[in-house]
Amino acid sequence: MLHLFCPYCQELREEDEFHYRGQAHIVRPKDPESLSDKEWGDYLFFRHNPKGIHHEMWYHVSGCRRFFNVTRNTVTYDIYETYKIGETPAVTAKEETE
Amino acid sequence: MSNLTTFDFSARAENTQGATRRETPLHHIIHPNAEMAKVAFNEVAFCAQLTLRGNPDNADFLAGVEKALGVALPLTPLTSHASDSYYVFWIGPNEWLILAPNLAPAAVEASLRAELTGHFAVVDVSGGQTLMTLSGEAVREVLQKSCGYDVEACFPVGKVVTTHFGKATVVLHHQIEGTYLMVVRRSFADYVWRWLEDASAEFGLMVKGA
Ligand SMILES: [Zn+2]
Repeated sequence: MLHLFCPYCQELREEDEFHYRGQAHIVRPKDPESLSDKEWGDYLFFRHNPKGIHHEMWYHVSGCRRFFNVTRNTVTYDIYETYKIGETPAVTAKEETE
Repeated sequence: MSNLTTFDFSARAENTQGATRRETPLHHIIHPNAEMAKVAFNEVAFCAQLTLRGNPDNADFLAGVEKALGVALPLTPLTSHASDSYYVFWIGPNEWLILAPNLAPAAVEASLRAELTGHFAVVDVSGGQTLMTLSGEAVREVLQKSCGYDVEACFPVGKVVTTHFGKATVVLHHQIEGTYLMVVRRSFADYVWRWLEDASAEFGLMVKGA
């Protein structure tokens, strides 16, 4: 059972209150018509699958019903930080290797 | 503060809408009260409930709500404000639940709409959910059995959390010391009641007013 700190409720809650909603920071292209099929396909379907640091979205579905971001290690399941939508992560994979 | 702890059973049969008889989601429950019951249950019938959405950074919105209700919106997460007529619960950063035990939902909605302009939403959700109170000397044990949320760690009077009770999502409010108010979707009410009946069996359960 993971414990996640909801940045909106400002409290640690158990995993069963949350849903996992995949990779974070995916920006919808401003002008989809100008993209190649490959670029559009990458946006729609292709996601990172890193071993280690991963930025992902979670949904506090049985709580405040807000989406937020989590930096998690996919190997150890360590959660380094949680942060609101629109904020940038403090922990990134590049820093981790330095 | 208004009294939400006593069930008015006559309200169940009250015929206020001509031929349509109102029934609470738990109108059907029959429970033989345990002797020496350590858990007390009560359904609060027909309480006005409204969901309010708006921008907490908009001073006009905050002032309008305070003028309409006579109570300020709680802006700190997981807190509530109460007055003689209203409970206002923080649900999310731009969402609140307003309870008005003695007012008609339409009257509360009208008073809010009279004061608010611009981007906001107020929705009468009274028919979609029901209120229950839990009290008694073993109430915390029952909540600890039923909720993943740790009610013994940090749950002072006035705090409100949305969490799970059994597998149902509920809004749980510490109303007065040792008395908890639960807001339950009406379609989950029977499930929550049955769960509670089972979870309370070892402590003894009584339904107030029954
Ligand atoms: Zn939350």
